[in-house]
Amino acid sequence: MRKIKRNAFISSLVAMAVVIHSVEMFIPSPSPWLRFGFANIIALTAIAMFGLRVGLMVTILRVFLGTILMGTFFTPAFFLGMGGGIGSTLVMGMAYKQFKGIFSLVGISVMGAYTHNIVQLVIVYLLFIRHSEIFYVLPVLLLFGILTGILNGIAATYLTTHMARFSFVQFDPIS
Amino acid sequence: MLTLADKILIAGLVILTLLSFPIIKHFHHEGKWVVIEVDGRVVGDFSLEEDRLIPVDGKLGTTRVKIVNKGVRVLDSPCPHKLCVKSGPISRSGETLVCLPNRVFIRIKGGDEQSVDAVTK
Repeated sequence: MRKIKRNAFISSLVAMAVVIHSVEMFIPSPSPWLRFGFANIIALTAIAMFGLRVGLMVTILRVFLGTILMGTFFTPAFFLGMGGGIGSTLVMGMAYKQFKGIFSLVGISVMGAYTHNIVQLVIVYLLFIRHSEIFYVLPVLLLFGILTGILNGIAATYLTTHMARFSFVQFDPIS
Repeated sequence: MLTLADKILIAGLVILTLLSFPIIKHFHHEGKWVVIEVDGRVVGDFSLEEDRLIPVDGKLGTTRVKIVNKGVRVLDSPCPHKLCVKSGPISRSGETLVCLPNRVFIRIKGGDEQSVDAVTK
């Protein structure tokens, strides 16, 4: 019973991530490069509650389902989301395991956002635009990423502390 | 909510990112070049940045090529149809001016190869 509840809960995390991912596409942005990455809130929550493996699963499923829904499956957006998502989730998962008490979710989220931007730009360079000039935008992206990372980290902190009320979730929230 | 380590991390990353601006600028030294070929042989590379007049000796005679305002154009050519002259100035990477009768081939290289970098949705 506990396992069923846990799986259902993880599924609802995936569903939330897909919705956030899809709705975020409609948020106007000065450039397609600048995105808030709100779906990372869910990845971070999944990591904090269930660990790296579940976080990775939620991210991969989110990118698959989200891009299929939005019609961007196997377009550049798909590869960027997948690469950046996996990279940032790996970093956040490992950082959470190693430095749980030292960094709060905000710090871990910032690390994830930073990784996300670097990985995405490297993928753009390797797969789409073979010009070193694209790295000009990197500092701008990274600064923006730090800001969104802080916001997402704060959101994830609230989400995890509220989720902690569910009895079937075993984890110790860090305030 | 923020721990001391968080603050150090965020401050460190912001400083690192700000410091990377001048390093990234270093990438920018790739200017655009005009490559002129006659009969498949490269006659010369010229920078688009400096204005100059280049006489190119082709099969029929001399084609006069002018670089002005970061663009290239053929001023006059001994060919019958003057298509190369009518092609007007070019300035983007990958664009070409061709004078077939005189075997003169002018293209721009360097910078962004496409006029559109990428399209994503």
